[in-house]
Amino acid sequence: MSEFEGKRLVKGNFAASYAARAANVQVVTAFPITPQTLVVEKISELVDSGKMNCEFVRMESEHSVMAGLIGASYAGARTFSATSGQGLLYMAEPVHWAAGTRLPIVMTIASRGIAPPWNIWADFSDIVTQRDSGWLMALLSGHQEIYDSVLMAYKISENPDVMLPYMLAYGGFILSHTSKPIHMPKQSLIDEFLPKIPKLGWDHVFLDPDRPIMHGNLIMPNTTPGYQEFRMKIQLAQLKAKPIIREVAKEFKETFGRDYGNGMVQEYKCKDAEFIMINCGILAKQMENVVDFMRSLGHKVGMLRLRTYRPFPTEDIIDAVKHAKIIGVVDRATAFGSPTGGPISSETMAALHNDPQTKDLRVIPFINGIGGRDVVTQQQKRQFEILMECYDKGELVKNEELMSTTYWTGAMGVK
Amino acid sequence: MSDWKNICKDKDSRPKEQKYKNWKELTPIPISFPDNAMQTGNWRSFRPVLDKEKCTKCGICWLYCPEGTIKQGEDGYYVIDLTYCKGCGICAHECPVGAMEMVTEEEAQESDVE
Amino acid sequence: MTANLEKDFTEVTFHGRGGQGAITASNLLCAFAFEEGYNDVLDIPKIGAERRGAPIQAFSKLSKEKEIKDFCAIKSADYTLVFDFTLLDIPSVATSLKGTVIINAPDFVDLDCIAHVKAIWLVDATNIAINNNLMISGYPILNTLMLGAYAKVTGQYTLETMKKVLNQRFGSRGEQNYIAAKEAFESVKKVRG
Repeated sequence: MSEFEGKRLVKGNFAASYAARAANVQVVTAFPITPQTLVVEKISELVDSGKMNCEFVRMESEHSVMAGLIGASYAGARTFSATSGQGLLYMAEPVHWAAGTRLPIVMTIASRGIAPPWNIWADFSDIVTQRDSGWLMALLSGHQEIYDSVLMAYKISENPDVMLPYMLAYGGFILSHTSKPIHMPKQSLIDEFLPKIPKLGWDHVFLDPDRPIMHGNLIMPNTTPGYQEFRMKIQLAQLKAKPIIREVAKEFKETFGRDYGNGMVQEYKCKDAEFIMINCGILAKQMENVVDFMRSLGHKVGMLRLRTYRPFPTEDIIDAVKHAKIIGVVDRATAFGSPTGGPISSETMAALHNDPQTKDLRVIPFINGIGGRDVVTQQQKRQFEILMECYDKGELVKNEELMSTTYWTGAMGVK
Repeated sequence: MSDWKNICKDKDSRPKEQKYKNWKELTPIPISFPDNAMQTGNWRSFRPVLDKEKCTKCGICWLYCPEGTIKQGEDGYYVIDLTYCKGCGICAHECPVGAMEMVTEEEAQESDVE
Repeated sequence: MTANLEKDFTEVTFHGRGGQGAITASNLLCAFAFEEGYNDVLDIPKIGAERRGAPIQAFSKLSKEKEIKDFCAIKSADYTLVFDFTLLDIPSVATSLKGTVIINAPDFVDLDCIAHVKAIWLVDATNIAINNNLMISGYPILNTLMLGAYAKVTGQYTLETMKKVLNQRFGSRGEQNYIAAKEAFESVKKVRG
């Protein structure tokens, strides 16, 4: 059995590298940043030893990394890179360009807290800064999912109806540097699953002196079609991506046997649940244990894992929680000055409010695990208890963790 | 409650130690003072020991110490602050006359007792 | 359904100093258990801005059947491996020790500071490493040796499994590591419990 097939013990970062190799990525540009570094280190090792047929370019900054990927993708190459935290912030300008140019670049993000104070541990605040750039985004919750999501991402991104870049985020260190056994499928199966890379470039843009085009030029505000129309097309592509993500997740399950819900969200015992918590990333995985425990005590609880963050799974959330008495939303990120302080909880409230089925459903926001702070199962159990108490009382439970309408659990000086 | 408002006043009147009951009392940003920075002395498994007979007081160890733990004493010989010395061995490596020797912590502690 | 918030897997904590191989040890332990047929394993290195010599921690979780979903740090480990007995001088390390503890220390070391620990095993891994020339830039590397001792104490994996994995991982140095690990396996002895 080759090094790249079968069940093997790998670090989360290496799962991303192996998946990039399995997806026959042609160009990787790289700049190291903790905790992403191992992803590109492994790829450089594989390229150097001839185990991966790919152009590996070392860049002088993250900004150049994305610029390089845009260039390569213009020429019709399948491209990959990875970054984290401050690196993503430095990359911000070409990140928006990549989406505006509709290039199917895939990038993994080992998410980390934003400085200051200096922080390198799990926190999704970094990708939240880029959430409205037009990229598709997923929040991953396991080593196996990192590997599988890279494969699914190319299939979704390269769909002619989508043609948007894809960001796959997983918690720094908690997933990037821990090891778990993952199953890597046969290369022939993967090749069959993935779309063919077009020989003559993507349908909409190509760099070829024989077929000259001009792109990226200035358009005056009142020229039509112009800026507004092309921006509308990006939003339309985000909306069109929803059924395609669901379809690819279904096809993935049929081909490889692994289940990621409907691709947008993943339900855990939600069907008959009265109290539902929306969570993401590895803390969602851990919360499954807490749901089991709460159910053994007789509480009808459930957990909905937000897997896709962009496009926001509005319909999927409404569908999964419309029968609940009350729901909680747990963020591992900050959105300062937003209605709740947490990005996902703010958006969930907005999404539910516009639908007659859920407009009266109370949403309780929670924020925890900021900057990689340990969240133990006891703390998650208490989040459920607060949620149930809020429902019983019909109002927010006043305690030291409550700031305005949000519970920040696990802070200093709080019991 | 707002003790931190004195923190950037002159060196003498600022609080020696920062103690807060909960996060609301904290300074807006984390502040460390030189005298309560992370004490790296317990990282050490080897300790530099100076042989005064060989030492020429040239000061190269003082110049190279990455943590600034070496200071010149009144007699002109260099003294190592063991609260912060992390035992990296750069001073011993750079000493032109080989006056600095790296000794294991156990050995050093035994000879301390003697 | 027997759901509870208590663990249903083996938890191992590693206390070491940067450069001794404790992080690699937590990964290798998972590799051994995985090779031995454990269904799910997870290693959690507690990485920060540590340097050589700084006290560091790593964790391993080993499950025979159930999937490990619990990713938080371990509070009360079943087994603890202490790579350097001088770490026992740090109060937070000494008081955190629970379950069975394997310490790299010579026989004469004073164990009064951990009187609350019920089961203690000692192995003189530093000397074994020096005798077997398991050194990197003057520092003895203790990971495979401590895991040799762990194999004896727990019986969770065999020396053959160790040999196989070490040869895969370290190539020509695998055999050298194996011989030293075997020596540790044979010389570890119970002093309490």
